[in-house]
Formats: sequence, C-alpha cells, structure tokens
Amino acid sequence: MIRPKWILALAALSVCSFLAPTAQAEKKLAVVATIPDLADLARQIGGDRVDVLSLAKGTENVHRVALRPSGLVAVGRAELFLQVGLSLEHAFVPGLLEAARNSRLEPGKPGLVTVSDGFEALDVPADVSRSDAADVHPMGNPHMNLSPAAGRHMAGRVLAGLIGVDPEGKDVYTANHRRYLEALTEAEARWAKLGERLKAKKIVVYHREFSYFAAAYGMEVVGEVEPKPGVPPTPSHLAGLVKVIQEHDVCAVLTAGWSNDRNVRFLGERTDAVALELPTMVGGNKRATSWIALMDEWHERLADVLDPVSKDG
Amino acid sequence: MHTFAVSTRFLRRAAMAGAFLGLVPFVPQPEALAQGPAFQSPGLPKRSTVGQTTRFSNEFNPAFGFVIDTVADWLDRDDGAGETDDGFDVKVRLLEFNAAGYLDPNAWGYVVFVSDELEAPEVEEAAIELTGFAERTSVKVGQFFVDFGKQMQQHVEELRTVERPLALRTLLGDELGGAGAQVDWWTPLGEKTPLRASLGVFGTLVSGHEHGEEEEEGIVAEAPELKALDELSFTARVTALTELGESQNLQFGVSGRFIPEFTFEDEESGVESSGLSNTVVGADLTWGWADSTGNRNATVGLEWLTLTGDVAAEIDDPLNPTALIVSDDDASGFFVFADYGFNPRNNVGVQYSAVELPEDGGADASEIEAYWTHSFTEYRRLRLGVSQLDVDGGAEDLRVYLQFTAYLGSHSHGLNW
Repeated sequence: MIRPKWILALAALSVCSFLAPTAQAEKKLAVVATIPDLADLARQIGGDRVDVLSLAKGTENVHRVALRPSGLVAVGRAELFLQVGLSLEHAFVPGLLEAARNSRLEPGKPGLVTVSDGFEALDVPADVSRSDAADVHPMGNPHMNLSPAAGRHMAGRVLAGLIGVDPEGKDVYTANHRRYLEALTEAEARWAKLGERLKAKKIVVYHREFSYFAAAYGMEVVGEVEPKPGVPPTPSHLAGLVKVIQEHDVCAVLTAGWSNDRNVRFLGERTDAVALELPTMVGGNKRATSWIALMDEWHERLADVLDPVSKDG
Repeated sequence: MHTFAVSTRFLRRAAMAGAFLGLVPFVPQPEALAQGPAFQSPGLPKRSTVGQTTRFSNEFNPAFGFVIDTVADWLDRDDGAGETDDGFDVKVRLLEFNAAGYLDPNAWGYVVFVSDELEAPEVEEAAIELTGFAERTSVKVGQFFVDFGKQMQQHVEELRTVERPLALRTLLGDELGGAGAQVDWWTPLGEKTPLRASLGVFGTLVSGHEHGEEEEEGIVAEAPELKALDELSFTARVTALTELGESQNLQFGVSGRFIPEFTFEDEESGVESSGLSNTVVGADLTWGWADSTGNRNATVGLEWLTLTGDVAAEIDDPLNPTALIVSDDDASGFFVFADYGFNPRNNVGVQYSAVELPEDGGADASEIEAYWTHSFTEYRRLRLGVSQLDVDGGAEDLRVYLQFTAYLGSHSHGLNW
C-alpha cells in the first residue's frame, strides 16, 4: 500500500527542484575544463565572454580526481567541455559525462573538445596489454599538458573550441589568443635558455608525468619509482633504484605532491639525489598561477637543481 | 439490424495501445538510413562481399570484461539451540562476465552474466539505456538492478564489505533486480547541489537470489504471471548531493520499493495465500571527505529502511498444512558505516547493521564487520575482514574472511549517486 504522504513528499521535492533559483545574472559562455591548465587557457582566450570551472584541483592526482557536486552541475550546464584526452581523465570524465547527460557534449558535437588531438603523443604502446603496466594508455602518454611545446597547441585547440560554440565571439577570442601567443613566445625564449642547462641531465621520476618535458630537452630518465605505471614499488625495486641513482650520479628524483611519499623519502635518505616536488597542474603550488607560470616554475627549479654551477657562474 | 457493442475489454486494449502510441514522439528517432535494411528478404541475410564488414568482422563488437571473486573464510556457527559448527571454506564465489556496446548514438546496452560458485551462469542484468531524450533524462529498459539507496544498484563484489549489509539483504534481498523500465532525471539546485529522481516500473520485484547460498525449500513469494496495470511493482528514489566547503560533500536520499500484488506459497504443500502487498521505504545520508591530493579520503554513511504490509508467512499446521498465516506487520533496519582510505591502495572500515527479522516475529538481529582492503593495482584487490552476526535467542556466526577480487578486460569508473 502506497502511503499518500510519501507521494506528496516526492512531488514536493520535484516541484522545489523546478522552482530553485539558477544563475541567470550574466549570460556568459559556460566552459568546464577537466584540469586547471585548460581552465587557465580558456580564461586567457575567452576573456570576459566565458565563465570557466575546473573539475580537478591543481594539487590532485589527475588519475584520481574526486567528483564534487558543483562539477556535475557545471557539466550539466556546460556549453563547452575541454579535456586533455589520451585517457588522462579516464578515471572521472567518461562516468561524469554519462551522468550529466548534456547533449551538447556528446562525441562529435562542437561542445566536446579534446586538446591533445593532433599532438604527437609519446610512449604509444605497440601492444595494449596490462602485462606492461597497470595504467595502460592505448593512445600514448597522456601527460602532454606538461610538455613545454604544448602551450601553443592547447591554445589553438581552445581557440577553435570557443569559436566552434560561440562564433559571435570570434574576434574577441582571436585577439586574446594572439596576445596569449605573444606572452608565450616571450616565455618560450626564457625556457629555451634554461633548457640549455638541462640537456643530457639524468633524472629519476616517480610517474611518467615528466616524460614530455624530459624529451623536450634531451634529459635522460634513468629510472622510475613506479616499476610500471600504476604499480607501486617493491622494496627490491627501490633497492635497485638506489644503485641506479648512485651509478648514474642522478641529482634529482622528480615527484608530484600526490606522489611525494615514503618511497621518495627513502631514496632521498639513501642517496645524494634531491627529492624535487613539482606542481603538475596549475594551482599545484602558490607560484603556479597559470600554465606559463607553471612551466616557469619547472624550468627554473630544475635548472637550479640539475645545473647549480651555471647559475652560480 | 446490427448493433455494435464495444466491450470493456476492447476499450481497455485500445486505451493501452493509445498509451503506448502516445509515447512514440518521445522515443529517440534514428536519422534516415543511408542504406536499406540489413535483411532485404525475410529470413535471408545478404551475402557479404570482399571489402565489406561481415559477420566475422569484430569492429562493432561490444567491450568485454570479467570479474573473478574468490572468498576464503573460517566460520564459527552457533544456532543458539546447542548445535555448533566451525571450519574453513574456499570458493570462487562468483564469476561475472559483462559486455557493453552502443546500439546507435542514442542507445547503449549491456549484459551481465554471473556464475555462482562455478554453477551454470545466469543473466543478472541485460538492459538498454536510452539517452536521446530531453536534457538530463535517460530511460533504462530490460532486466537490471533497481535504484534504491546507495548500494542496491551495485553487484556484490563491488561493495565495500564482503556481503551486502544485513538490513538490506533482510528487507530487500541480497540483490534486487527486475525486468521493467526506469526513468532517471536530474536537475541542479543552485550551483553546488544536483538533485536526481528516478521512477521504475517492473513486472515483479519479489524474487532474488543470493550469492553462495543454496536454494531452500519453504515459503516463497511469487508475483502473478499476468498482471493488471495496478499489479506492477515500482521503485522511486530522490536524492540530492551537495558540497560542504572545498573538500567535503553530503548526500541525502529517500527511496521506495512497492509490490502491490504477490502470493506466498509453501513449496512443499502447495498451500498459498494471494492478494498480498508490501512496501519498503528508506532514507540514506552519506558524508564524504578527500584531502587536497585525493590520496586520503573518508566516508561515513547511514541508511535506514522499513518494510510494511504482508511481510512474512507461516503454515498453520506443520503436520497437516491447510493455510498460511500471513503477518501484516512492519520490520525496520539500518546500517551505519565509516570507511577511511589512508592512501590510494589501502582502506579500513567498520560497519554495523541491525534489523527486525520479519519471518521470526520481529526478533532482532545485528551484524558488525571490520575490514582492511588492499589494492595491489586498480585491477587486483585483497580484503581481510571479520564479521559477527547475532540473532535474538542466541544464534551467532563469527566469520573471518579473505576476499580476492580480480578484474580482467574493459572497465569503467561510473558515477553512482
């Protein structure tokens, strides 16, 4: 027997949901970015025409982003959704898009933009098998946003995405994009100088977030704290890594905030290598307030640690 | 002279047909096909030619995944009447096979086969989800787990604990699946609060099965084979999720499961009692927290539910049964849990559940469980746990278990809220 009071309660809740106030104050293009790096680009290029929200916080592990209710609301309303792709956001984006049921963000629609499209990915596996790793990314290393060469590409994809859903703003977006590229060109000149000091330097990394950056300057990754991506280190692996660090005279073990754990501390205690924690997304620390600032931070701190003599000289 | 008499039955059928036809405009319409139908002649498939996709092509195959769930446990059982037993057991509790794929841009489907303890597999779910409706609305049709509370949508190996909480499996069943249709819709309430509602209509929701439990003869609940519209079962759920600051969220939900017509039958004697109904309503509250990296997290939850109506039956005379005595009563239960993930690979938790047993005249039962779950990787998980089940009158079970769960093939990270 259905009790009338329950039916009334359900009906009242449904009515309340229709009457609830929604943000209508200023009609801006609703943009949701999966990570703060893309949110920064959307703000720089979108300017005053856009309202941008990032799903991930800069301090989070991008492979384990916890969904916040505001993220679901924002994705449900979004007119443009920016993701890196290459399965970087596999842990939270497919399920979120499915739950949000926003028809503007379906595959093939202009509202869904994958910024890695057209960017040459590293570490594309010849065979897709979990015998090689737990975190297998069939389309290649997904951390392309941490390549110093990615800014130009990502900005171009964001520009195309904004114009695709808001053609009326094309002139504004194009002008903002031009200004952004000017700032980026200046930054790239700074990075090129610092990059000279990084060439052929040997490093150990926790996770393959640093692959694109290392490849850009010919740095040599001689070891990884994770034996395979997504697989935690065993004591024997760490013992082997101590030997590798000593043999190669490695100066730094690169880690992110989420991975700076007891394994990294162990390596720091047993070797002369410095555990260097770098922000891996915009907002990862106080200095990384934009994607260009994030890259500035990486270049400067890595040059300081890996080539202190040049700095002193 | 002929008179044209319109029977009530005819009118009812016409009304039904009209109702179904009225739904047609809301069904996602496929775009015009560039080619003709796949089968030009009834029963005679077109022969494929070189360069075409064929029945042997696998480009459009669904994605496949498997789950292997193994449990090793030690059980110390006391029935409260002087009978005790204890010992070890190891079993592959279940093998799950699932396949999923798109039918077209507006629909995707999935099927889940489950083999209990390596017995012949059964279809646990087989459903199509239609997504081409109005904003934020979807419709699921087929056989699937109902939307009730926070746990009933999940398969048993996906749970935080080795078994579903005592209150749920007592009042709703170990699993609650049915064949039917469910509309699911959500809407934002402000900037930080989504509200979701679902309504499901099912042929029946009285039967269910338990993993690793042998079927016992006795009094069973059965739905009529053919039902009037007002004899269909249905479910409803409304839930809202909101943020508390940067790192916490809170969810509240109410759910209902309504069975308006079923029969209790004693399988041994064939004695039955029909025209029965019962209802389960529940409320759930869940709080979650995660640190700034997402590595550490905590969840605390409470779910309460009550069963009212015809809740249980017993035969009038065990030696010469002539009728069933049906209890028109209510029985309530709840569970509360706390789970803490102290790094991405390790969780510890405790859960307490208590319930009034409908078939035992409202005797109380409770279960407490503590566990540690270690994930070697995302695809291999080991759980060590201990649980204590107590029933009024002295019966108790103490169980220490190891549960090893492995995932092969495709996988996803859904959003269950």
